[in-house]
Amino acid sequence: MTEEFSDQELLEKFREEGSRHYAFNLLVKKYQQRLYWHIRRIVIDHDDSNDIIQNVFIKVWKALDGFRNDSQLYTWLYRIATNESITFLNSKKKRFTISFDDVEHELSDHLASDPLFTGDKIQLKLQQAILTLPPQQRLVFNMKYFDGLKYEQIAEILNTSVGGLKANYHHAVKKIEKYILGS
Amino acid sequence: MKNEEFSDEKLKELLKNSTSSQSFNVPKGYFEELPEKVMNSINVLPDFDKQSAVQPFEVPSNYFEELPFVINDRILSGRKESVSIWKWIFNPTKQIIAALSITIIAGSYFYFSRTKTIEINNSTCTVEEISESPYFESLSDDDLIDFLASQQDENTIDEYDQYLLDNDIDISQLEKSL
Repeated sequence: MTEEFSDQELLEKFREEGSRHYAFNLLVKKYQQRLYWHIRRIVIDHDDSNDIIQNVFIKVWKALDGFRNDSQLYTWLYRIATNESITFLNSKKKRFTISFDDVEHELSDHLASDPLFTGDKIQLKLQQAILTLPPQQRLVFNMKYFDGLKYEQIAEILNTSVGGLKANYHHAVKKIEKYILGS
Repeated sequence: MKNEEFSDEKLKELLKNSTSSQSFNVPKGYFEELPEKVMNSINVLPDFDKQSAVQPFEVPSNYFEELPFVINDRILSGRKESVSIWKWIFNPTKQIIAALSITIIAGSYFYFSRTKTIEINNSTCTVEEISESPYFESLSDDDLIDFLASQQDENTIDEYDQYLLDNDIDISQLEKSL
């Protein structure tokens, strides 16, 4: 039912006082899963992901009035979700005075014991391999491989060039292959 | 060509005395195991040219059905940050505050609920023992006031006044009757 409305229609309904909440509710239902899984692949833990996605949509609620169609709505939402996730990981690092590598190591350990992770050994290896990537490569890999985004969309989200993204993805794949085959 | 023939002949001469037909070797069973190893690698590695069809993560049941309502509640209540009780519990600062609060509350409870004793004629009795004693019930308010006055010091003046207030005793009337 939510897919019947285009992003433009949802925005128009949102800007009308009488249908604002209704339109926003539809927006949440339309994008919640895509944004949630994107966040989840960054922060791994469901509870953290739940906190972040709620914060993302609260920010969207407050900022949607000012959205001027400079980009696609979806990429705008994605950018907010990405930034919130990275901010969360950075704050985690600061809160516990550990390095970013240790954060990723902690996430990797958590992955192995998480009851909400139901992948087989190969999937576990893949996720652990992804966690060894530098943050930018990890984001690019997740968005390309899991979310199926095009390089042009990823470029818009991360504000970087398509060429750079292709290189990032290529390096990420090579590192992941090396990690999986080496273990 | 003449040089090549020459080097071939010389080479043959040099190798004539060599007994091994192969300079390199492989571990035992290597070629027997190689096809399986190659196929295992192929099966292990995902196809990175295509979007993944596998979703190894799960969410609690009905999570996405409930999430819009949770978000809507937060918007209506104006709450900025998501509150996770577990995050609150495992926050070190919050843990210290909670521990101090519990210590103060527990300490206060035990302090104020401790058994109070009164020393009368070199024997110690608890307040409960005295109040339950039939002798206590037969005492008049005047007797009690006299007793309290005899025990009075700087620390008990407040208790004395409080007794008068609690029992609605007008001190001016007492003084007239004495």
